Amino acid sequence: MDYQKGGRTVKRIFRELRHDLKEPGLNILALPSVSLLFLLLTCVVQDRLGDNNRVTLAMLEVLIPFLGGYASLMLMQGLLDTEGCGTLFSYPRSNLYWGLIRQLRLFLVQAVHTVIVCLAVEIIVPSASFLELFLLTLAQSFAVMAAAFCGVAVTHSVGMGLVILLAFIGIQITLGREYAVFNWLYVLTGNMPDNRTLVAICARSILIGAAGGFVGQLWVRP
Amino acid sequence: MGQTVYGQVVLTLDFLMISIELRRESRREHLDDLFAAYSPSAALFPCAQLLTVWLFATGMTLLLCAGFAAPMLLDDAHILWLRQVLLQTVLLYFLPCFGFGAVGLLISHLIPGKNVYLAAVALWLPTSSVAVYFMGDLARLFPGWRLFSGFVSMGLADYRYAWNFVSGPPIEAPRWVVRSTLCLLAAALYVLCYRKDSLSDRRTVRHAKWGTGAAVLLGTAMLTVLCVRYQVFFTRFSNDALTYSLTYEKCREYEISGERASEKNITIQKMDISLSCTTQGLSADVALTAKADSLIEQQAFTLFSDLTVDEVLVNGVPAEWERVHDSLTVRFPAPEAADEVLCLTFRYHGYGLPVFPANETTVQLGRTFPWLPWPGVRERSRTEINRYYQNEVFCVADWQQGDPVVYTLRYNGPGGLCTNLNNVGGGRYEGVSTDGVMLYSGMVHSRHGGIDVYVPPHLYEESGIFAEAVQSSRTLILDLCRRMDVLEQPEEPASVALLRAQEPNWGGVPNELFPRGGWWEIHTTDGGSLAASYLKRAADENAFLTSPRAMADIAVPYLLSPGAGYPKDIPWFSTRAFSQLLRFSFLAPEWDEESLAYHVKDFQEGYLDWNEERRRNAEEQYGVAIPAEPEDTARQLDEILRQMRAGESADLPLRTIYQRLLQGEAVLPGEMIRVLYEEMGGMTDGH
Amino acid sequence: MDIEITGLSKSYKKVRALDSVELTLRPGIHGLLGPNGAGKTTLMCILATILYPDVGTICWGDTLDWSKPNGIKERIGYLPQQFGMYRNLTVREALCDVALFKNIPRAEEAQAVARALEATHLTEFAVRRVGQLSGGMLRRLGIAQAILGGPKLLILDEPSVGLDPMERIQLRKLLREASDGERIILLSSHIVGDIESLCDTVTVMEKGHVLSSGDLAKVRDAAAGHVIEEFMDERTLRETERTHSVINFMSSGDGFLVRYLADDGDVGPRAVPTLEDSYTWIIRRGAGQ
Repeated sequence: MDYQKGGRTVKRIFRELRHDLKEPGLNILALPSVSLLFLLLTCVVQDRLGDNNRVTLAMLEVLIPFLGGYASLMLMQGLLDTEGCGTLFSYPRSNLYWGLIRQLRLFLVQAVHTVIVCLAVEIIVPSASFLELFLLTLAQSFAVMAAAFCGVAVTHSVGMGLVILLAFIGIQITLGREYAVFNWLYVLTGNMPDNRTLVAICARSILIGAAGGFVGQLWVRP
Repeated sequence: MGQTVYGQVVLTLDFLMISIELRRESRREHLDDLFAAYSPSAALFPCAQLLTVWLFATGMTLLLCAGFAAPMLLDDAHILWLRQVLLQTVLLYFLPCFGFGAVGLLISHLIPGKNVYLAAVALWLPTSSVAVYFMGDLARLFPGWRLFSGFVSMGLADYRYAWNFVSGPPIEAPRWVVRSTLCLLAAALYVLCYRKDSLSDRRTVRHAKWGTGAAVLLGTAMLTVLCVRYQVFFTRFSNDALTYSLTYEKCREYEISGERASEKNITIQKMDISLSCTTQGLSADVALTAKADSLIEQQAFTLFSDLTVDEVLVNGVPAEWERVHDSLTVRFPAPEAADEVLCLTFRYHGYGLPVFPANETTVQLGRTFPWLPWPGVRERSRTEINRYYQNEVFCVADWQQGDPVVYTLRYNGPGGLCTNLNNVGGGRYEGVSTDGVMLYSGMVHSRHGGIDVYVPPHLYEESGIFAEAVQSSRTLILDLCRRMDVLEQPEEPASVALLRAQEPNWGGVPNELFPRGGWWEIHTTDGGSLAASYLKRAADENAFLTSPRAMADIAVPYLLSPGAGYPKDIPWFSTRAFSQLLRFSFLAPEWDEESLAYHVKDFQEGYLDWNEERRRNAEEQYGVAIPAEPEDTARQLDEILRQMRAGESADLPLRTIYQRLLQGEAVLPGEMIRVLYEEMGGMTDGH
Repeated sequence: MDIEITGLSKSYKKVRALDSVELTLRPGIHGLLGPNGAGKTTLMCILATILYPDVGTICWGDTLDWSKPNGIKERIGYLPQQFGMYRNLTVREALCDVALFKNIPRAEEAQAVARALEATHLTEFAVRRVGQLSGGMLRRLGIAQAILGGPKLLILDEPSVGLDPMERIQLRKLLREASDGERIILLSSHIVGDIESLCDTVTVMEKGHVLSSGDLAKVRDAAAGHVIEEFMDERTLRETERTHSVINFMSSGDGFLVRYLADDGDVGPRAVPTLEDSYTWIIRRGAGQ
């Protein structure tokens, strides 16, 4: 086994990831900063409500996946919605790299982010269970990020991608409360979901994520 | 209603993004330079952009208005309802869309480059209709957040806002003022910033900077003034989701209020009321003419604690008074002899509760809510504080209001008033009542089958149904009263009013019918009436009257409400268990085996199989010893229900139990089972 | 190795951007001339593997063709008309990331970046954020990322836009040095002087067609015998402008020294045509056809 080559590959991946996280600028900083604010708020809310805290888990469900989706949008801005961005397609990288591979790497970053946030929530909120929370949030992030990716890839516009992202989330939060058929990803009761619900959400997330990723990738072109 | 929320969310976001893209299009700086070179005023181009956004917002709003108005016109909807819907459309769509459009132009001018989206989302999320879904709970915890989110909200403050049926979605002046101000500020700031940045002469740039700074300060000052002026509106009345939680918090105050019960020592003869309901709440000037029942030096009155007393005069002389929560004790300048007539004048202002609002938009002041000063202060039981759904604990007792009083009311507030006084015109109302005064605004009056019906405008077409529903429900109630040997029976309805109020859920199914003599009120939270819906679904009136479900869901809850003379202090488990058993007697014939088994299990878990902790809590609260039930009780219950299902009448044992409850006895669920088991069909153990 | 373009066509909905373009690009500097909408940018985008043609083939030697773009991408450097990427990174960071994407080995990266910075006179701005660069500096950064790694095919779409005269001179020097006999440099420009001073071969395009292509001297001589240069007063100048294609005029004493394209039968002192003259002649002839 060529360890040197493997090591170089890993270094290269980290460098590419570093570029992906640095290029969007302040927009990526939204993830840690908003999450930190959320955790601070959780401390206060938990202190006030104690066992009756139904706020934190509902907010976590909506906020963390949205941040992942926002990062997905910003990752694609330099590729699809900037002057001269077609230059990137002249580099020896495939469209698959510019699209799905970078998105999947970002998803791994989002997974790490989710681990940190869920661990913190478990510490602050005694009724929270890390594993279920993490699985739920990660599954939701997968679908939401894919929807954002699809939106920005199809429209080649971050603004319209943001509209699609928020419309996707919004339809579930608003209409999904009245008509369950419109709610595919969210629990929103403020309680930990049961296993059956969790499995259903994970299955739907994988489906939505795969479909969004596939369609989005088709549109990743100059 | 979710469609309304979702549509509004997407439209406002669209306007925000489109206006950002309007400024972000490539080679924008050249276009800006071009306009700066040619236009006579540096403000012309941004004004043109704002005009574009305004035109789009107007066009879209007109389209929506046409879409909403067309079916309403075809349905002959009441003009008040049509007006409300159109105004609400402007409030929900035009102002937010134009506002977000102006904000989008402003932030994309201030923040060139990619970071504009971060700012856009950061501004949009907490001010849009989506905010209520993940920040709504915060409003319950933090009054500051409540004020902030209500003030800057450009959407629906609460999902249930769209369901408020008292006046349909209310047209609230504060929201209009604040939203319009925010829109104008955003637009003005954009024009000023653009102008400042496009000028090149140092002197004019300096002037422009000063001008922009002054505009920012002025805008901030305006918003601060509006914040102070409308603070109570946005913290108490603007968010429907908080209505009951805020009321519940107020309810808790009665546990620690420190007020003492006090006798009523005067007989009220006349009340002259001057009431004004504005953005600042209500302000009242009440002149009370009363006769002293005995020699008295002071008299305590019940006046809602959030009403601030400004002045009290006795026979024109300022008097000393003391306030302890709802209690207002007035010390007379000189003792009043028995049968002396005295005139007391009260001047006060403040706010009612969210469930009893009194402001420029909505007035919903019930007779028994102490918005007028009533002599005496009653004891409040723990049951009221713990188990009532926010309403009863605030209310005065019948003995405080029992005098026949001549009322004159000068009223200044929202129109469409439904009241037990007579309208003599010019905002004046007069009448005699032994029941206090009730005021409900935004109601439309009609007459059906000799009954006066008062409903909110959007339910106008169903007025006739409500009148019929009340009449038919009375028949059911009379039947049940006869079967349960109830002496207090409701009168024939002369008037029916549909009101928004949440009632105690005594028997598992809330009671919605509240008669006071010939005046009947339907209390409901969602604009629907159970009685009306059952009547509509029934083939004819006879089908309704013979429907077991109608009896179980309408007559039974009435029987267990204070209106039927049911005592307020009966423990909840006694009331609910009896309610279940009485309802079972009507519904059981329709059950299959599975349903029967389910109800047995449900009753057993709810009322028989209590653990130590639950039993101890109930004993502490009600002072009643609750022994563990023998295992055989479930079997007995099963047999009882089977007998009921077979058509066996349980009227006799149920009547016995009910009469014991009426006497104030806390009959335990297990005891009820035993009574039923022994008296139904002669069943005994080991038979 | 030459690049052979055969029967290349590309359409955008109803607009035919390229129509059966046949072209050979030899090592050296090749200029693309044409009015707006001629198809220059489309051709360059296709060569840069950003767009794909509807019909036609492009081959580079015996082994490389554009139907397998991966092999091509390793060998090209492209500068688009508008370049505004990486605004949040510093100049050095941006070039290092470009080097990463171009698969330049890590050991050679620092040197390659330093060379590119030096060639485009951006070394002193290496730590400045791209978003803070002026228009000219941004253009130079675009050139730097294009030449990074020494690509064998350099495609520059209007490289001198936004450059001041000194920077344009430096660009010409850079391109001449880059033209090492093996490299193909394709550049388009509206500044005919840049093409004339730099290019070995020139292609003139209009409305998706190639009107003329060949050595600079050959294209320049296309208008031989058709250019008249004479002195005339203002009234005659206005008359001539109405009837002929006036290429240039200069104020001289009481009148103007006017250079214009002659029709058959026109009498006047013939001038040696410049590239600008011939370009105008070719376009006019193409429009007449």
